Amino acid sequence: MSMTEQEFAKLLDIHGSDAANWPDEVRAEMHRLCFQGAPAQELLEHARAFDALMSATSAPPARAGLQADILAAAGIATSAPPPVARPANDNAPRRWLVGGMLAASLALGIWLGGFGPLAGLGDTILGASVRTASLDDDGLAEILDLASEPEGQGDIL
Amino acid sequence: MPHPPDEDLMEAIAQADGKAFAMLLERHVEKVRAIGWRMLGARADADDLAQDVFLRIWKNPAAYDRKKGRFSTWLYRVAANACIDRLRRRAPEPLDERMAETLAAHGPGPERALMETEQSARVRAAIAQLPRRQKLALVLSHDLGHTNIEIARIMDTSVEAVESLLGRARRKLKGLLSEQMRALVNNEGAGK
Repeated sequence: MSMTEQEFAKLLDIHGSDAANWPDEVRAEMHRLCFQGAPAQELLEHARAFDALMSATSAPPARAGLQADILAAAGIATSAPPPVARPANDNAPRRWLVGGMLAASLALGIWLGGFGPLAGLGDTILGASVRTASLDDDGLAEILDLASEPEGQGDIL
Repeated sequence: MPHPPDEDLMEAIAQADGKAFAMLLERHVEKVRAIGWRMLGARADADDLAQDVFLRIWKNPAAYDRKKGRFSTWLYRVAANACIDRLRRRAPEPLDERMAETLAAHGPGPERALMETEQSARVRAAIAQLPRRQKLALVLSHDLGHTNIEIARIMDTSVEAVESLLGRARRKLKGLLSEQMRALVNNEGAGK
């Protein structure tokens, strides 16, 4: 049974222009009719234009955060971004090292200051500092000259 | 379970499983919005509809009975009914307001974008003239790609009735949009 153009137009209105959506029993007839003549092809082109118009006016994107808003309204906590992964005590070895060095430095300072070759140096430096604070420009220049002498430098350090 | 079926997710939602709800939302929110967009004609309305429908699901998951059919069939029916409720409550908007809303939805753009939004507004205005059931059949067929058998299930009617609805909807729109369609056909012809 061959399909008329009128029947073809009606089927285009029902099933649209995409042959994949047509029932199997009429799809072959659709192709035959379109292959045969211009009027059927014109009908098909108009149906395609209609489908294109529909597709071109599909829904615009949702407002930003719509899904998050729905989850929040439902009382569902959305997962916060995970914190940067880091071992719990990754600074511990460094802290021990710094602490050890400070302790060793303190012990060395006490020994040098109290019993070592630099015993009394603290008083010397403290006294110099006090004296320096009370010096005028000429006195300060004298001390700076003394400090730049090679022999004296070795003794202090 | 990477892709659990909707029906299983609904069972989990009945146990207040928020992850299952989030998954279901992700899967279907755009389809519900598509229904809202065509039926109600504004992006904000489509978004509100989606929020309303999914919150109803979360608050009352027992409303869905898997013995009665697929979840998606039920969901689109709920969305369609929610649209119809909203349409009953409101007065029709003039075309200018729809165009303004479309422009706002797409953002300001060049002249071509303006022409497209004008065209979009005309198509939406034409669709707005359709009776509700024709509109719904069209969105389910065209936008969501359902077969006429599926549409009949969603709309709780016969396949013949769906074919009749679709036939009348497309005929009417083709009449209302003949100018735009002719322009499209001529453009395509010129481009060949």
